[in-house]
Amino acid sequence: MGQKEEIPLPEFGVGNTPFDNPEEAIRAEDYEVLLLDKKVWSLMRTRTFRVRFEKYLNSPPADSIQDQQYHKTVSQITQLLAPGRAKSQFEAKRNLDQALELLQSAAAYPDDSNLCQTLYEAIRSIQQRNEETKRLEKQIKQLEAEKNKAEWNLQMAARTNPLSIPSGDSPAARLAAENALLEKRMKLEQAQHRLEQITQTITNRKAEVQINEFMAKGQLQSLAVQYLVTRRYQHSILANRFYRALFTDGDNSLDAFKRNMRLPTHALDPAMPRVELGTQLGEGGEAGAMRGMLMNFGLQNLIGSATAAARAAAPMLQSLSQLDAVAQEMIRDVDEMVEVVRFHLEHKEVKSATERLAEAFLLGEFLPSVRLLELENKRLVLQYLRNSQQLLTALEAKDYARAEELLTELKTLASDFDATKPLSQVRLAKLSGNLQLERAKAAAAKGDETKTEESIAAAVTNWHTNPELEKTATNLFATSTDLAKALEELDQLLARRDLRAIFEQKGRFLAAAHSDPERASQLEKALQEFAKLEGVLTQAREFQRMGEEFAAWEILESASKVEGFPSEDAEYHRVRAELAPRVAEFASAIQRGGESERLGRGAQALGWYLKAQGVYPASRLAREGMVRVLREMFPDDPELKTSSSK
Amino acid sequence: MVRRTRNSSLVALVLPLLAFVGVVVLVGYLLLSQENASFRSYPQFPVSDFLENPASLRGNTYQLDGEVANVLANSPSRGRLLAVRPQSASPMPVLLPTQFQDWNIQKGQRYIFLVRVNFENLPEVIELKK
Repeated sequence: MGQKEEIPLPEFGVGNTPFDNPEEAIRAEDYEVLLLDKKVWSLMRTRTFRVRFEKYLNSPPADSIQDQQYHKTVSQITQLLAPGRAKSQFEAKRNLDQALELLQSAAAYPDDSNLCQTLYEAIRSIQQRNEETKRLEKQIKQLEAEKNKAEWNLQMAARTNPLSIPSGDSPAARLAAENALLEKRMKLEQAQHRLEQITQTITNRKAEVQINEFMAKGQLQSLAVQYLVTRRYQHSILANRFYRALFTDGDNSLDAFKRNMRLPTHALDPAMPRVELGTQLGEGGEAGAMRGMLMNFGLQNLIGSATAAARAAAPMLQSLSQLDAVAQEMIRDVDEMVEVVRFHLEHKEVKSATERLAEAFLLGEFLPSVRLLELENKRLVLQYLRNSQQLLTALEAKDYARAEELLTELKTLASDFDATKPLSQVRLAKLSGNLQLERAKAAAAKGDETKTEESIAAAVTNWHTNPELEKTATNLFATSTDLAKALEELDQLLARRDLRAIFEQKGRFLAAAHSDPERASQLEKALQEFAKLEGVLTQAREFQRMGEEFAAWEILESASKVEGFPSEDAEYHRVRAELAPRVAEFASAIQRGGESERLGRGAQALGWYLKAQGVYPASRLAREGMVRVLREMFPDDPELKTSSSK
Repeated sequence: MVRRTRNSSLVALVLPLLAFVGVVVLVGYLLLSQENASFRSYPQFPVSDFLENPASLRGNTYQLDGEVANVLANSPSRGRLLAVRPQSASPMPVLLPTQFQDWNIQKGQRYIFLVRVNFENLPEVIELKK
């Protein structure tokens, strides 16, 4: 397989490198590959094959009476012409005649494609040639007799008859002798000329006989080879058997075919296209090699012509016996493959069944075992094929959601379908698409339009059918256009210290202010203050719910004293206003106490705080106010120094 | 006859005793009336005025009848600051200067205070009675 390294990058992603995308992973996992003339052919991806295979999978099994009759007829012919069946020449002739009759009847079967008729006509033609040969041989025999006669005449002419020559030395005698000599020469020349003519005619007739024989043998040998390479193994065997019945000279070579095809008779022609075995089909041994070769012939038949296939096959075929053995072996092999298909389907191993059936179909499309496979089995294979095709289409279209569904379906349909790699690739692709979207969102939040567009483009490339894509793109567009507006609104709300409004749109403002550290800091502070406000309001509402209005008010009032507390909040005011009528006296006392304290009127402040405490004895504000005032007025009270309340 | 004699002797004993008790009570009342008469000459402390404008009360003397609600402060130099709750009013601060340091002032005790509003606008006890 050293030559494998020279093969350019495979058309369908077959190679040793890791797969870059799920589509390639699927293709390599699920499809048989043939290497033909340094090109990679994926069986299932070869449209011509796929169409024929699907047509076969959709057709019912060929088990009609007509089909059965046809197979019976072919079988009868094969048996009639089986070597050693005829005990005598008469029986051989009778068998041949019967076989020819059956051959004619088999030709009527539609699926035979007139192959039997072609064979019959070839045989008739050969028989006519044989008749002609016989006639020529008879002529040659007659000519041989004539030749013998001419040779005798020549011998006789060459002899000198002493009686016919006058004796004496007279001029008349000399003239007579000269005339006799002349006559002898003439007779000799005539006899020689005749002999030459007969010899030439004999030579010509013999050449005609040889040519006839050569043509007849070549014609049948060509048919046998052609039937083999077109995977009509039964017809190839029939042609072989007829050949042996017609030509009983023991010549087993395929020289006539090779000379007819103008091919070298022995050595491989380096100029011929090299047919290599696919890595998955190239099993060891001669049988495996022949099987791979015939599969490639099958493929070549699909893409080229039978003649081209025959030319390619010629260097590998040496004899009629080999032809016969190969055809028999292929029939047996295909029968076994079909049994294996049934076994796989029984165990729900539809993937393996599909591969084996495709292999069997390519090898022996026309064999009864392939034709007789049950429709329900073929439908299972068809479903697997269609799902696989849909999966590839989904992957090509980057519809990963659909691809994931199909992978699950395939796994359910075929227990031997390993979805691990494609599934992980699909999930990786989906994750990658989603990550790109997240990047786009992040970039948009930062206001980086270029990066946003790049990330969106990458997300589209990775997974353009991502259901989140359209939504995100729309949102991002809106975000980018609303960015400035959001920042402007944030500024206004910060100026108004409307923390509640800021909180209600915090997502939008966080996204908008993400790229602006100053605004982001202001926003964070505002949100923290709002959190405190909400905490205070929650406590106040809880006290209010428990009927502790003074405590609720005091919580609100205490909070309002803290610097930065958002006492502008509408909800704060609403709760406080709700409490006001019920705590008016207490609130007033606290406030007046506070005012007096601020004015330095300690005694008055104490009076108000004491009044407030009289209304709500647990008042923390009153207690703290008094402590503050007392510390001012009685700085030498040691207890006041240490305690915050009394 | 014996019974009538015994009743007559009892009346003779009880009547002088009752007369003595009556004299004692009368004398005591008169004495007390004289003491109260010294606080009664001062007006009641105007609590509401104190809260609204204590400065306007500065230098004035008032009597204040109330219950000690709390001792707010205890200064060695200035004395004790009491929270005194007058009748039907909220507590108010009253300074009990150091000259009354021997008095055991306790929460819940009721006193009549004679107070003068000092420079801090704080009612300061001049005298007090239980």
